[in-house]
Amino acid sequence: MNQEEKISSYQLLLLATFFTVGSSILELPSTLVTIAEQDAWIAMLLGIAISAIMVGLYLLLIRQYPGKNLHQINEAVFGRKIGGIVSFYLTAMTFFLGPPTVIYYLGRFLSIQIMVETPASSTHLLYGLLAIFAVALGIEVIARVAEILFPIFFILYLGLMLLLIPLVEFERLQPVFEHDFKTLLWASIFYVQFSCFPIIIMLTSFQGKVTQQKKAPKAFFLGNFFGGSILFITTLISVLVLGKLTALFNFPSYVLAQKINVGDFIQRIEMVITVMWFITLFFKLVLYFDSAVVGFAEILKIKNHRFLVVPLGILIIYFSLTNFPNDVYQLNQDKTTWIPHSFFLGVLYPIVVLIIGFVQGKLKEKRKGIHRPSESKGG
Amino acid sequence: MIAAIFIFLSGVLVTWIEFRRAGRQINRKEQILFLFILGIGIGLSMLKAIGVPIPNPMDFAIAFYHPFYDLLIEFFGQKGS
Amino acid sequence: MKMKRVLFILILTVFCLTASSCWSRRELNELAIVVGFGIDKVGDQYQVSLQMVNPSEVVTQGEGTGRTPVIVYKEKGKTVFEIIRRLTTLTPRKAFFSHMQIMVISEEVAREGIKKALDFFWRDHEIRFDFFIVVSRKSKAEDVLNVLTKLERIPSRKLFTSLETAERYWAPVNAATLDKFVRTLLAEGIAPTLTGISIEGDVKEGGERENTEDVSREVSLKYKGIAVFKEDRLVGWLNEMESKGKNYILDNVNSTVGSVRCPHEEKHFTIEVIRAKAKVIGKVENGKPAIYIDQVSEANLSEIQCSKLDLSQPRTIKMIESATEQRVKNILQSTIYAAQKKYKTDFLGFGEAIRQADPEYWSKNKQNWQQEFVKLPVHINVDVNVKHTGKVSNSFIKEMEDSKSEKE
Repeated sequence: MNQEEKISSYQLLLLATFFTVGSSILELPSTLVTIAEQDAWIAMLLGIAISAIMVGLYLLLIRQYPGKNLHQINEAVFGRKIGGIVSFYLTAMTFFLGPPTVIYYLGRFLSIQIMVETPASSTHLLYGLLAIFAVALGIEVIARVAEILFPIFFILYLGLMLLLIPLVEFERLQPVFEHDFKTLLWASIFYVQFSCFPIIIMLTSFQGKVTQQKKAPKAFFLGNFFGGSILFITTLISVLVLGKLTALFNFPSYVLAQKINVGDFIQRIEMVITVMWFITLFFKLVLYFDSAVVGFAEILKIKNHRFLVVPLGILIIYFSLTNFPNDVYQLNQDKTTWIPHSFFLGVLYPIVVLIIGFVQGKLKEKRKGIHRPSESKGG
Repeated sequence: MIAAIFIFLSGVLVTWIEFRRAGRQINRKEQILFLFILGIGIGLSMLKAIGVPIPNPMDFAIAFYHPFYDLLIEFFGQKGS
Repeated sequence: MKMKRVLFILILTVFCLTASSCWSRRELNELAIVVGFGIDKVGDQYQVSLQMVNPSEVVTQGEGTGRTPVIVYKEKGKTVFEIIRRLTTLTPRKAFFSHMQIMVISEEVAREGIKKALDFFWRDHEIRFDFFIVVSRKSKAEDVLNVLTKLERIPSRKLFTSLETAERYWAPVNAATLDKFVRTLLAEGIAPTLTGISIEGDVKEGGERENTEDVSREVSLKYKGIAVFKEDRLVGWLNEMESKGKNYILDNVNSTVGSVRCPHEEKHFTIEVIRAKAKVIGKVENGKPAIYIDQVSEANLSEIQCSKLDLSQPRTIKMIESATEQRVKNILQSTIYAAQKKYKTDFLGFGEAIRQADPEYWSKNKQNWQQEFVKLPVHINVDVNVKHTGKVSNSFIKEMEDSKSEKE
């Protein structure tokens, strides 16, 4: 069943965009402005540059091992046992930290801004069930949903940003470059930790499923870049409209939407941003979830991974309800665990794999004469 | 208590639906894995519904990653904001 | 044969004429709809006041005639039903009770015992049980019904909806309907309570139509305190804090707010309780009864004046939680003190909890429960979980203080 699933490179681009935008569209400006104040947009540019390099690195990785997903690469590089452990650690930890947080973000947003007295369990359950349903239907369906929803998302997004232009004040950008490079880099880490480093897990779901193999890397790269640009514009507009106040709010984009008032006619449209956020969060959740399901199936050597969807989905809902006693704990937790974890997952791990693969290739070449590194299988 | 019973029943329902849908295509290993993971999820949820205090695994994750985070903070010279 | 058929048709016609269910019909234009009911004591007689709707004034379309939207009639007598029938000599139409919104009992009547007055309401077919009963505090029930209100044209309707809303969003009131009141009156080991109502401002001015036309005219009705009963006699009033505690213990709190002092400062933060659950558990150990109260609530942080609380640290939330727990505990203790020492009446239902836990002990000690209750040990366990901190994390007050201290 899985072997027959196919998605087009355009769909891959959209999925990568959605993954990159993810939860960040609502929260990221706040974090960036807290650290870099009016220079947040520079930090964002820096982040896009970093993510371009990193995504390039991931593409190098899959070029070295064509047609293999992350876990198969692990096995090839580290051998069966160590590779299994590495795969298990990365998959389990990402599964534990990633999708529950995404659901929690949604529940938190709903219970702060819209439905204060609705218990978290009901919103989490509904959203979790939706994700289970989507993942059970397979990546092909998810990709088609992305194709349908993207125009809606993009038109809403463009509309919001255009309507905010009358409120822009350029003085809010000054003084430019008040903060040193280190601070800006630190701020940019808050972008890449959510939007760039974890995107490596998408390589598990897609390897060998894209119809036009040659176009896939380009689509993947462009998707990430496109998502980054969306976030860059959001951050820039936040700084231009709200200035340093952005840092005070948990959901600055929502506040931005509340400020829109065109001739007393187009106003009170903050629900638009809620719709956008529902869409992007859905894809972030589903992509994390799907990669975890495929990953676990690979590690446990199960052919039919569809079997794991419901039990893992129930675990996600459970974790989303119990992992975070309150907002402050969650914010703190997010920083202390996710930054190092995404660093391991998205920086340390691919570099180590690339180096080991390279050395192994060299060694084999020496032993057997000419041999392509892509065919090497470590022992 | 009622919530716990409902969770248990939904677990049974899920198992029934999944096994029926798969028909004879499932092998033993898949069955066991399915029941094992589902059991963990349903069991934990039931305990939570009854009100048994369960340690939060996130605390261990934080303890594990905290040294690395401190290193990063030190490197960037931030106040941990 | 033919004769039989004719007879049959005749009988059918008679049935059609008589059984067409228009027997005790009462058309709308013959009814005077009663929305409020007041009971006072004048001498040794009851005085009943009825607040009736003036239909031509309440309609939303068209202009009214400038008269008041409601009319209050009053009459004296020995029993309630007698008074009501006597009122037909005063009112142009017969009173219709199914739309009653509120019943006001004066404090005087309540102190004497209200069971005598309530039997009619329990018995009559027209009365539904969905109106609220309140006790008018320091004023006559008649005066309460005389006050005209602003936002809502029918005063009784205002009393009903505002009590309903207050019960949902503000802990220290309790909306009791007739059946609820009688149930607690009958139950062993629990005493009933009712919400109090008082008139703010000059009583005389309240009845004038100008009261609704002047924005700043300060005659209004306000719920204040909870009346505590011993059997059917009012014995005292709970203040706001004790009322709050009472509703916490009886699990009547849906959502409320409370302010708590900041840990190191003379300022306050506000906690909005969105879900509260309380359990009163009775236990009899070695022949000695004890009560355990378990109170769990989920809350959001809704207002912060403190400048020293750093909300980016998880331990701050712990601090806030424990400060709030202490505060809730104090509230509960004040209520328990009021029940055991001040009024010596078991309106918290501790007797019922003991009865559920150990029926044998209860049937033995039922007679001297009054003495037992006063010295009953009560253990309180409060657990507050703060979930969200609102749209922002740290308050801008803290940002101001921080930038100030940076400059110095």
